[in-house]
Amino acid sequence: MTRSLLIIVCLLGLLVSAVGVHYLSFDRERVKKKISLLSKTTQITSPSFSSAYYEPRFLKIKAVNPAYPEMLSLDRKDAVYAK
Amino acid sequence: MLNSPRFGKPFFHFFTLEFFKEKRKHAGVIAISVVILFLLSSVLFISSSIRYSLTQTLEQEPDFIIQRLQGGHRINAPTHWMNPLIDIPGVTKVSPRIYGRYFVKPKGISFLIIGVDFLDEQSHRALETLLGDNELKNFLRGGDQMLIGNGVSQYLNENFYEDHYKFLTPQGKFRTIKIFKHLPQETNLISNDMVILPIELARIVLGMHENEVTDISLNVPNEDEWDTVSNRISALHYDVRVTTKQDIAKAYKNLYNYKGGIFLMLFLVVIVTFVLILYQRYAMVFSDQKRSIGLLRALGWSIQDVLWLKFLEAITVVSTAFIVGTSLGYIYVFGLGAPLLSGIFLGDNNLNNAVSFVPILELGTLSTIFLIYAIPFIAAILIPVWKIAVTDPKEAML
Repeated sequence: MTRSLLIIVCLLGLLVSAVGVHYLSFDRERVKKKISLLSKTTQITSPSFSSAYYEPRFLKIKAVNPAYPEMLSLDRKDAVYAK
Repeated sequence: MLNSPRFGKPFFHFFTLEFFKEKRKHAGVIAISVVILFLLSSVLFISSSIRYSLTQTLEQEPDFIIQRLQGGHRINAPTHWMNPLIDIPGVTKVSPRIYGRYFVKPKGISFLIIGVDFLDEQSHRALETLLGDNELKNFLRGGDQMLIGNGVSQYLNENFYEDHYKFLTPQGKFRTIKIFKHLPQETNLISNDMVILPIELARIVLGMHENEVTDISLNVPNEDEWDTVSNRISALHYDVRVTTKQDIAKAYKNLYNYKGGIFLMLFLVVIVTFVLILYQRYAMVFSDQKRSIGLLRALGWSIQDVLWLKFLEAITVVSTAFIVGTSLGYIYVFGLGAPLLSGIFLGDNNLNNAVSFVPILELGTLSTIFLIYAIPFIAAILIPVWKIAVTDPKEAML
């Protein structure tokens, strides 16, 4: 049984090592540079929300229902983002 | 202390026997814990990754965005608004922004059209670095061409537009624009639905006049002057809205903040439910456990020894579940791109967004999750065990 436990520990260690190697070897600078260059070009930094026509495409912009603009809207993203 | 029997080989061997004797029970608990921790860690990994990526782009965000309002809604601003802004002391750069949503079908799929002034030195240099020097020259010389995000590309391919697309302008005329290149996949987080056009072409597609812009951006290098400049801009017109970089920075800082509102509520509900389930489950095997603990006590084990044995069992289950749950969460988010969960954060009503998340591990958050999960878990196991251990062994074995 000690052997079984050691095997489990080794497998967990392998899992952690694989995660650690991926994390340490990931090239964050390359991704950061490309996103920064694109933001510099377009001057748009908001995430690309996959929004319906009545939802805001940009962060921090309140959704307005085009059929009932005076109605208070509950934006789905209000439930995701803390205020 | 290390000479104590609790740290000896026989004790450890006995612990492994005890642990595997109840392997089905432990496997069940580990499975439930892995699912909860997998979901929790996936959500936290996605949010921290998005927050990290957006914080990096904040450096490129203009210091001020000036928009025109009518009836509380944003409308296009006139280009002549730019001239008085340049005259404000402290303002270094004023540039127009042309962008808008182009709906392929009304209420259907939409693209974000962005007009870029390629004569602007900053934009020119940035795009040159992104695409390569020769590529940019070919793009500028090639007539009506566009750069598209990966979501747009996927949609156009599915609809058999492999190298061009015909935009319907508000004037009712079609404008054929060739696809020059796809934007890098690493930029999907912000560029998935983007279509980058030369500024005049973007105006045509969006139906904007020459003397109109969507909004105006400007930079003020000295942060101490921001309040003064903001007040001066607000005083220029009655229908102006000024958004500063600080507003955006605050939004990004609190983005997906698990400490606030809905997240905290859901988190607490999940943890309390989990602890209740565990407590019930471990309290159910009362008679078997009572006998075995009574036996150990009768053989001369102290209460501390019994608790130490059960603590080791509990910590093994907790650690295994935590490692497996968070590792699976890591692979799911940073290896597979979080196929279903990413839709919660980025939406799924428009184009599919295959975002490549940047691996970010906030050790503070992971430690907090571990402690919040481990402490109630261990308490739920040790409290029933302690109750049995303190009773008389003869009564416990009945």
